[in-house]
Amino acid sequence: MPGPLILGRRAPVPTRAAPALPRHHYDPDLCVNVTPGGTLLIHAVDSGTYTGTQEPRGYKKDD
Amino acid sequence: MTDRDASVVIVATEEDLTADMVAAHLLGGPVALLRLDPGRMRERPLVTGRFAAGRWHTVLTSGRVSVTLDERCAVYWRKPTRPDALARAEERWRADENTTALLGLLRAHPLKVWIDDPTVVAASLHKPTQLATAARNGFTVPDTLFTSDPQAARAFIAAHRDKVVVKALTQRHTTFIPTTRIHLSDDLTGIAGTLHYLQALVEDRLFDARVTVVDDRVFAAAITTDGALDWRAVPLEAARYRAIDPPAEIARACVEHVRDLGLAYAALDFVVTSAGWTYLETNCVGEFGWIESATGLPISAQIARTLCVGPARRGTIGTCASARL
Repeated sequence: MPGPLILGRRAPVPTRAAPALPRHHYDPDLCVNVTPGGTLLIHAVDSGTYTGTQEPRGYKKDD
Repeated sequence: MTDRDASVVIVATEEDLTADMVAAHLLGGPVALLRLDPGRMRERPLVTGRFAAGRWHTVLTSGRVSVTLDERCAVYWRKPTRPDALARAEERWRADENTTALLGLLRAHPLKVWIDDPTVVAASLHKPTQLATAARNGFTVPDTLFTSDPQAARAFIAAHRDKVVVKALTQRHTTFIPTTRIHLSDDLTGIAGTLHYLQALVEDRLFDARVTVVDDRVFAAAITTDGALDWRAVPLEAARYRAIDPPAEIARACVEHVRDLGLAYAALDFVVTSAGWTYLETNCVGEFGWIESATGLPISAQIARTLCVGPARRGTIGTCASARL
């Protein structure tokens, strides 16, 4: 039996990864990620770069 | 200890910046906020549920914050760590145990609002259910075929004059599979043994539309590419996004559709042509962070607001193509 037709339609894995996030940590008191200076991480970066429907290496999250 | 009147529990991974976008709107506000990931549970928060005298009483505690699961508590269940994503068997067991326990406790209590119960999501994410619901809601839905029969696929493609697409239902265990054209000239033998999802091509698209529904609010964005069949395959910078006001009947049907699926939140995909809007699918836990960032649509603020004040009364529908709520 041949392999599933649709698996032949996989997109190439993107060669360009999302830019690295600045240093940060999750703050369990604030319930958000913050930079060492206390800025909310989502205010320190373009959050749209990190919240899309695709993971950087092409492995897809839910839409 | 703080046990304020209203509380919000966010269930998400610690790395989830989309959950951060919602949490940021709740910081310093009137509700007690607590976040946890049952897939990677830490020593805090503490979770204790007790069944006595015929009823459950459950308290989650993190530092100075204490949340009691009851009608004053809202839950935002996003995408906690999946147990099967963990490397070691013991980790997977613990994640599964914690997720199952937390989910059971949440389901055992009356809550102010839950965006959304993952058991309801699991029942709503099936495309056959979605397409039938969408048709009942009045949407135009393309002819669709699920089949593992190459001859049935060939007949469907021929009936649609060789204008058909093939789509993946799931994207796990593989790299991304975009929607692509399928032709009579393709070797269709690979359809045997695997149910394939074929759909009539929506021709002459003007743009794609992503409509994000939060309770009774509708946030619509046009996505324009250079003719791509699947905008998900287009780099973020190569697509253009803009907030739009959908036709009133589309906005109304989107809210009804999400409610009919038993959800408070979902992101619907459409193709827009000169003939109108054609429904494609509903993403029950669809991403919204990138489209909010690209358009300014205040989706995370509306999710936070719904968590704070609870669902709107039925019958109200609002659209929002601006950055104001």
